[in-house]
Amino acid sequence: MKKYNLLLLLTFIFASGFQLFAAESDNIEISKNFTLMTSKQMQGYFKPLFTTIEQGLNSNLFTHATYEKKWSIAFNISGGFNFIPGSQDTYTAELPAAFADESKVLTSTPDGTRHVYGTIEQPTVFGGSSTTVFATPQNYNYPDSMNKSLSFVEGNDIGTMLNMPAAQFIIGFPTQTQLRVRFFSLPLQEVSMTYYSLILNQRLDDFVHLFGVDTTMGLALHGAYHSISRDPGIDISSWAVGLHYSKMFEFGLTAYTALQFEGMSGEFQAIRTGSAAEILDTPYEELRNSTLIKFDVESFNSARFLLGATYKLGFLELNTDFAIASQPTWNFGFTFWFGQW
Amino acid sequence: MKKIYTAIAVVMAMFALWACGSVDSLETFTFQYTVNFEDERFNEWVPSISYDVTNLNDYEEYRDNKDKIKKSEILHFNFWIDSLVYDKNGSKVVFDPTKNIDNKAISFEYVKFSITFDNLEYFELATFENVDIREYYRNPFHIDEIPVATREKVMEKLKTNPIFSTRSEYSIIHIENSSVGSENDSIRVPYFKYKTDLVLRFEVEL
Repeated sequence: MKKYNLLLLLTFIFASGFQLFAAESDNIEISKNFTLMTSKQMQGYFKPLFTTIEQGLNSNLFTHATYEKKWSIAFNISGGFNFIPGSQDTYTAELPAAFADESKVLTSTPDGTRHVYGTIEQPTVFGGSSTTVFATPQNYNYPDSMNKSLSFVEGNDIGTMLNMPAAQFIIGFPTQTQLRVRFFSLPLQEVSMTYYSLILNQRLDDFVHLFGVDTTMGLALHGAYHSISRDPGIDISSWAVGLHYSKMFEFGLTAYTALQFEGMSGEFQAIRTGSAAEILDTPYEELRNSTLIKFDVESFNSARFLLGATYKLGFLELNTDFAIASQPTWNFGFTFWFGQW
Repeated sequence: MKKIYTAIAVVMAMFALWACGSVDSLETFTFQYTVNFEDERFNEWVPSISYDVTNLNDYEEYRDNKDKIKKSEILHFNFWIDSLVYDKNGSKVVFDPTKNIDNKAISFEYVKFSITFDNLEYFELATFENVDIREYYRNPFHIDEIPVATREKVMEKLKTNPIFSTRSEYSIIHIENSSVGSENDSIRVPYFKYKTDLVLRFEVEL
């Protein structure tokens, strides 16, 4: 059974689940498979995955907007799928600077393209096959002699990716405010990696009696802040802000929609391992001169528009929604309402 | 209560789908790896056949992943002439397209590469015909894609046999305006060096 979710994936990536990293010091250490990628290449290769993570963080922030003037407490579990667009199957990989100089090295690709220099499209973590750049050095003087053929890491041909799951506590306040809190911490190479989210929903329509006496409709403002950190190595934050509106129908079904702006920023830093010979025997100056990998974490996504529905049956509320975003996403969840007073 | 049970069943089904469903995920990690090898010959008589043994255990990427290899393939084979010294009317001439003007047409009729894991069964990797040294001199423009049938056969062997031998077969050499090589006779090449890139793809379990 292929059962992976991003929580596990995060664990895999950040906690050496697939031996990407090996623990020896406080620094995150990246082992062999990615040793020969430059920082820029790693950034491009993983950007769609960070987009999936970002979109997962900023999903399931709310359901209906009709927050009542009561205290309430609930627990929600949510998940979903992201549909990976073809445009995120490739990234632009940098080639060694010397590849531009034909007096130092000649290059080609298997499709017959000659004088390949600057950049080349290669698969991201969700993409397909990579393209080898063949190179023949024209002399044996260091560092020109390092200009050898380059092979690249391949993608996993993933069209649909499981979303970041959320397990969150929900507290409702009489101010028609709802607070959602997510938290977990796990050891990553003997140093704790901590994740938390704070999500605030505030009903607005009642303040200005926007919908008059109609109590079936609600309009609310929502905002969220997420943090994933491990010092040293990972410092990622994400945010979302938007408006959501809902309309309740007689038979218990509530439809909701939202427009949301969101983003992610941060930095990833690690130490490249591998034998000295392996690291030195590469055309990339960065790899020869430094063991540090450092890149900014980014997401392709900046906004989403979603439509959803929620259905309440006693203490249980079910919801599902579909959002148009950089990676179109379908989310669903259920909420156990423990009490309302 | 029946409604609640139904709702719970629906939710559970959705989560089951979510957890086990249609996601082709990161169960494996795939990477390409280029194995470079070269052969250097002194006073070699051609036509000739030479062998070069490759042990993938010499490569860290292979050693680190060999217990988890799910699939391995040979994808491409690239061949070029790195250096050549030839005999011309009794004197040794270093082939250098940037200096020599008298290096017009030195060619092998063919150069053929094959791979064997047991010295009994050979799988052809690539055959390069009319190998004009000028066209093959230090350039990466002669890339052969390994035929699918060969890939599949080699794939199984490669999973369990990290040591293999590459056989290089050089035909007769022709040197333009020279008496040598005009017949099907053997000639002596004072120095000859070629290089190849063998591109492998490994899929390893995570």
